[in-house]
Amino acid sequence: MSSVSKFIRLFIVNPAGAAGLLKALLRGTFTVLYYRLVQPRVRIAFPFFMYETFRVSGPGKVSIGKSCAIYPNIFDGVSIVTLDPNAEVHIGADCSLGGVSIRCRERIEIGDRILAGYSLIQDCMLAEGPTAQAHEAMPREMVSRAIRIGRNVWVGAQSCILCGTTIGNDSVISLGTVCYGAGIEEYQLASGNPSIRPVPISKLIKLQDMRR
Amino acid sequence: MKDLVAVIRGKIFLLMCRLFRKNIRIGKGLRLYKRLDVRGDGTLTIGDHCIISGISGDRKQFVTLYTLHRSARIEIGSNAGLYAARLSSRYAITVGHDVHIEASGIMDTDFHSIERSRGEPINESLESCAVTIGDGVKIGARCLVTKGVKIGDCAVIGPGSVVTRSIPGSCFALGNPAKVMNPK
Repeated sequence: MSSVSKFIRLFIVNPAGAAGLLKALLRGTFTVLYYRLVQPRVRIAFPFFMYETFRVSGPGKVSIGKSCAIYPNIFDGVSIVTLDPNAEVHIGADCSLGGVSIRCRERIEIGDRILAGYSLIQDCMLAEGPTAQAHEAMPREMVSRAIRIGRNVWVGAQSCILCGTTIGNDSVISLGTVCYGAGIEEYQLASGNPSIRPVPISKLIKLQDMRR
Repeated sequence: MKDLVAVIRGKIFLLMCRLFRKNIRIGKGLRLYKRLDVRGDGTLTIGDHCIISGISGDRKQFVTLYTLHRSARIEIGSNAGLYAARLSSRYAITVGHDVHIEASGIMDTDFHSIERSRGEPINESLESCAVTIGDGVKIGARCLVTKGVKIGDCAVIGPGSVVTRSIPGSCFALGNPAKVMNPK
């Protein structure tokens, strides 16, 4: 009931925004129904707000939690590609994603309440080309490894999250960062290309207070 | 079915090049999965059994090969896979055999000078600006390769890196500017 009263308040304050929300909800509902009927390996929970296009391709499994929203970012929506039949992509609840392209060959886990801009999340070095390669013959950098992103993480625009990255809860990935095999712990800020030393955010806040 | 359509599209493109565009020379067995955009009147050479395709899950789904001058040339070896790659050449770009390039840009000029007039770039010549990419090189998505770079044989460039200096053969490079790294 509270959501309905919220919507009525939004309609009084900002009618155009309310109409956009309703349109996004309608579009999302159609998408959910389409994937339920046609591709059962893609599971999307019901309140799904789609302001931009959402594309899934490939043979793997995809699951998305409830009340996620997809926003336009550089005229691009979200595209999820699974390159292997055993690939799995899990996205938590309450995420707002804009312009994210996910390419998965092994496993990508994304927690709840993610804010993501125009970025690339890819757990293999090369997305195209022959998939059936011998694992012993492959060089070490070409082996795909799983990605884990915790909850309440903010992923900046134009950043790449590559194979073997783990990101803890409440962390921030800044603009244009490339994370390759980085272990970013809880409540840290990662920056740079490639990002080598993440900084604890609590320390940064202390520094800001000292400057004042 | 997709492969058959790609082979037929490649044959049609080859025939059109033979008839109308004498500056383009393409070997046999070209496969065109997505659009190939060739502009300019420089010379373009592509070897045998190449694959032109888009990258899955991106909106840019075509390969562009631009030559910006009559004397510019692009040479691509045989068995190359170009997946949404963008090559633009003013002097010379040489790409070896068995190369795999994904959604990245390769350019051998700055296009404009840093002066206020933004005219033709100065201090650029064929010797200092030619880009050479060796055999068996793999370049990840969203990379940029700038002028005067030589990449050695069997090197791997990670996604999202910007290559501004030469990189030796059979190593793994990542970052902006791209540096040789030990794979973790």
